[in-house]
Amino acid sequence: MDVSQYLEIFIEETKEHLQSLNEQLLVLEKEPENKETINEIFRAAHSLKGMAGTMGYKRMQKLTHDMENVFQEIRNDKMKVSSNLVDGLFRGLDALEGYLDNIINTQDEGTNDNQDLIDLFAKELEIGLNGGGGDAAPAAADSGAAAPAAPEAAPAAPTTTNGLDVLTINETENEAISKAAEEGLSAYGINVEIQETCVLKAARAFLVFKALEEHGEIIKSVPDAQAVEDEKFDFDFSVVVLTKSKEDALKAAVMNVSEIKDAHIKKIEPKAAAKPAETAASGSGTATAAATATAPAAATAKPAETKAAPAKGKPVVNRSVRVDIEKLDDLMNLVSELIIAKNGLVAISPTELANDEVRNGNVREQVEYLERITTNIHQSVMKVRMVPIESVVNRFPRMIRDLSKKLDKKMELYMTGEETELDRTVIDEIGDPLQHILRNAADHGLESNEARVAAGKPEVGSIFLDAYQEGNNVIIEVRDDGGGIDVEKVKRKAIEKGTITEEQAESMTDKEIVDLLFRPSFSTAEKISDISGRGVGLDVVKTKIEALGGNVECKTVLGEGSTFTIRLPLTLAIIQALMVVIGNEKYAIPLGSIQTIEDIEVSEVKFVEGKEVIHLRGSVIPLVRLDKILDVPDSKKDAENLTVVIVTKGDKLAGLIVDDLIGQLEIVIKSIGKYINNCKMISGATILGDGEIALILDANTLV
Amino acid sequence: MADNKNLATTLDATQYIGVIVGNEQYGIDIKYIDNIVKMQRITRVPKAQPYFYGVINIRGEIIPVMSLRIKFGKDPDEFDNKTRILIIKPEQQAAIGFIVDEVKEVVNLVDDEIERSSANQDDKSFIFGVGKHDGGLISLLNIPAVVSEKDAKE
Repeated sequence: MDVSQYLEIFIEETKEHLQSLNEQLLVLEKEPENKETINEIFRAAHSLKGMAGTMGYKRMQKLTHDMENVFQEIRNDKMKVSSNLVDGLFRGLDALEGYLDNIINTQDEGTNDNQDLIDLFAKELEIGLNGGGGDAAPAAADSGAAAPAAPEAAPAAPTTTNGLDVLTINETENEAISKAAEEGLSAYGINVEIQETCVLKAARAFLVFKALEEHGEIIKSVPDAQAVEDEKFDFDFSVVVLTKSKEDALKAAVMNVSEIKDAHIKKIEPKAAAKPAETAASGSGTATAAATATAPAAATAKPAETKAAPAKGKPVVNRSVRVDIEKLDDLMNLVSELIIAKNGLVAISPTELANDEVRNGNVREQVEYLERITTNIHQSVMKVRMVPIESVVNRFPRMIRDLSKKLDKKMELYMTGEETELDRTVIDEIGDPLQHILRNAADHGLESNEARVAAGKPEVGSIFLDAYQEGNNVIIEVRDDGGGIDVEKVKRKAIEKGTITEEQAESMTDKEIVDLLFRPSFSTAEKISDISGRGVGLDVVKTKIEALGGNVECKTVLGEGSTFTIRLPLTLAIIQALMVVIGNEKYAIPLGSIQTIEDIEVSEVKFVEGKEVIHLRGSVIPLVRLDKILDVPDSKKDAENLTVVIVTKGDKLAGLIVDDLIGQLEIVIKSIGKYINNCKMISGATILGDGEIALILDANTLV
Repeated sequence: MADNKNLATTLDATQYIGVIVGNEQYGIDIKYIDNIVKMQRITRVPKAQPYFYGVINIRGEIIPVMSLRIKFGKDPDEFDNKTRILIIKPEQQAAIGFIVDEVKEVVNLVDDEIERSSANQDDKSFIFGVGKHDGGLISLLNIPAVVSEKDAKE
């Protein structure tokens, strides 16, 4: 059978199952008795086996089958979870991932039988079952055959050949049926049988649901919609439909779906519907008041119930669509164009129409309306592109576990904020740098267990990964409670390597020294273990994050640990910016990095170490003369007052001196082209409403 | 140079746009040319290479503009109503503008009419050959070399 059309689904689902197996195994390792976890693992392994088998990946199927056998025995309390076993299972998962990689690349699973793993599982089974009684082994042997029934049996209550019998109609549904009858709709029970050869039963069932929904409303299904969705049924399922259509039409609709063997249809008559109401009425001779009281109550209750019924019956599909990122990029570009066009209107309206008061007002109103809409479209498109960082960080617990074993150090990873969302393009890129920093923390950050105990710290080292949103940025912090970075050592190494001179080293702050670790020259020349390890590849981390428009910082306290803070922009393409004038040039400063705007008298400018600073609300802020560092010709000089834009980067501040402020504008970030030298201060350019170009200043590099 | 080979193997004439830069006439293979626009306001980019005047906006695309005069070590440009910006696309996704004094005409040159600067055929030369046309000489620009980092003095 040709299954290539399902390959994509197979790959996606296999990935999901493997990830869930990884996560659950981690839990199991800690709580070997957790029944729920075992069940979860068993289910995932079982689906995986089934899928691999269907797709014809025999080796993958065999390996999963053997792993499943192990889970089966654990589930039946016939054997215990040992750390050896968990290691083996993890290796098994890695082998499965290996198969999957092969499949992704070549559509073929490869030729590695992973016999050693299979043998290992067999051995583990034997050891585990030794005390488990004589019939355990055969049970293990045929557990594969018995297993499929197990997870399915639970939701799919015993179904007879004509599964219609299982359709018991409860009160609420009966209510809905009788209500529908009043509207001329009849209820039919339909039992659908799917051919035994069908590969994707859930998909067929979904099509049946869809076909029936065109005729009316599905108010009930057995097993329930979710179970059908998850393929938790044998070869038939039943539904109740409210419809105007006739039996034959329904049957035809169902049979239209391919790979459907048969459909039995039976009309369901509403049971004496208003029974409770009637009894109330008949016995009401004395209690009319009570009856009238219940009647409205019933009336109000009814719509609510009928509303609830369809919601229950409809397949609980996660209504999502997979969209190619390129299509989203196109959409994003169009939104960008729209915003530029809108900015054009904003620029025209007040000037051109200034002499016509009334029309001016109208135009302005419409432009504001347009502005609101474009902002909303922009936000929606951005949201569509957002993905929780969970998809990147969820592999880290496993990585830390493996590192812990490999390095023979006890450590624990604590993660928070996995739900924090980032742009898809950022998500794709951020995995490697994060992994690198985590590895560094585990390998070089944390001390050995003995050293920790000697230093009076808890034996088990902790690594924290926290993600959260801060203004227009997403912050990811990786913190460890290890030994920290020995600044003196770094300094000595740097001088030795010729990265800095001794005089330079004298005047450098600790922070500046730590920053040396991000320098490429430093890292490549450095042996890992010599200087508490940091440095190798950190320049790569930095380059990658900066390419994404973010930055990375490191703080460290000797003996207490280090923190790496990664700051990433929330949005990539469109930002809010403050437009400023310097000389006769216009520049944009991203609003996200601006703290305040101050008007400062020239006399307030003080000098510290030959640099201009201002003293503002208790903090000393260095001033940056933008006209000088940007070589702007004929800038406004010798003014009485300076307009200073205070920008922040982390907890550092700087005051940018500009000539004039224009105002806030939503700008579309564009690249200034490949060939022109792009200095770090310029993060891009944008097109203003009148077609003029303004360059965007990267405040982070100016602080 | 794939371009040169391409020219060598075909006898069909290749079209070049003839432009004046300083006192010399240059030819640019028409396949590179995306657009020719009049001089317009250029936004200066700080800290860029000296031969880049800045960037311009061509239908929503931001394109860096280079002075061929400065790149070739000639006097700075004098802008008049003949000055044009040639929008060149050396690659599909990246455009660049060349400022020229004047755009003359389209010149058809067959291979025989081109004298290749074979003597010192390094890829870095700004000119890959000289074309003979109407008794005059046209220096044919090696576009990939012109847009690369290096300038004339090196």
